[in-house]
Amino acid sequence: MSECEHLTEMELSCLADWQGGAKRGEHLRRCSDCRNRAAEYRWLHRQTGSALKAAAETVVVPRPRWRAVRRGLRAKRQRCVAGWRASAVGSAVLAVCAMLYLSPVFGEAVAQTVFPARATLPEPPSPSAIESVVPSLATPTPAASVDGGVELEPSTPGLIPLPTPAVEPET
Amino acid sequence: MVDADIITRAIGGDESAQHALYDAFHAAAFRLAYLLLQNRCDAEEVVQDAFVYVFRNLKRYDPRRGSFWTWMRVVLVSRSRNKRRRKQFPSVSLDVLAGLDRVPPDGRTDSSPEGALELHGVQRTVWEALQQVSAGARDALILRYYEELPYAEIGEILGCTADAARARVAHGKTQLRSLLGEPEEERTRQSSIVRAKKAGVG
Repeated sequence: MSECEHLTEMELSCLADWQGGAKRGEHLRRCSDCRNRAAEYRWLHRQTGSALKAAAETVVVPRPRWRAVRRGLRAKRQRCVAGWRASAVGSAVLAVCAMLYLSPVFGEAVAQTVFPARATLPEPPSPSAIESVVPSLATPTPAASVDGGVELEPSTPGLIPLPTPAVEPET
Repeated sequence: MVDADIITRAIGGDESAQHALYDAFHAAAFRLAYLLLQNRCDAEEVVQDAFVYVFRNLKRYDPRRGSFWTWMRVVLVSRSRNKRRRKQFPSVSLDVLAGLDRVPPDGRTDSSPEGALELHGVQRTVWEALQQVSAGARDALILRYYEELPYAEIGEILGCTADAARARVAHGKTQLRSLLGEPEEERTRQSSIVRAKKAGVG
């Protein structure tokens, strides 16, 4: 640090807090300009502390309101308990519904009650009706032998091997 | 300073011990919140909220990591900063509204420190200048010069490094210096102009 190179605001602020190092202290001894600015920062340091303390001491502290804090505590506890209760009741209701729905005795009745649209679904069309509309779709195509009987030739071809190009011998 | 036994009982859920803790720290908490927020109603609300939070989470408090006030201060500063961020959508609780017409216990009605600081001109000027310093820098200044905390602890509270905390304090002081220095420089400049004019006339 040369003599003419003055200290930055940050360095001066740190010096006011008695932190800055010997190098800066040496510069301060030589440079009256920086010394004056450092003194300003020290003054500011003291005044800030005393102004804050005076402001804190002079403000009228309101009367302690322990009841409000206790009410807040209880309200939060109650909200927490109510949340747990609601989730527990919800889970229990869901479990009961699932059990009723899955059981063979009540399942059908519950399903009809809960999902009435499912009970009124139309009957699927008969194969003859389908054949009359689209004949090719109505005839099922056997895919494999059934009951170990005669193997039926699939009507739809499977994979057709593509012709491979002839490889020319290397010369 | 509170007894360790009170804290242990409060952690165990003893309401009278929690009440004792509240009584012991309420005033200090309010003062700090007031300095941070510079608003009485907001400070009162934040203090109440911070105590509710602290008492609900007392089991998390570890006396080996610091005093009860250290922990309370972290919660208080954090809540105050949140409150300031939410300030664009102001809301006042019914409890605070109900307490507005109450007279303070000592009968004083002027609760603003500006009134009380009238006799100390410099302190008043500095206090007014502090209100114009940016919020982040002001928080750091308050923790440094009111709470007298080391930079490492300020950093912990503000969620930054010690160096960043030092920089915030320095930045705050630079702002303060310019806020306090400018009028004086202006006055000096104006008086020198007046002197020059008078000299010219004379």
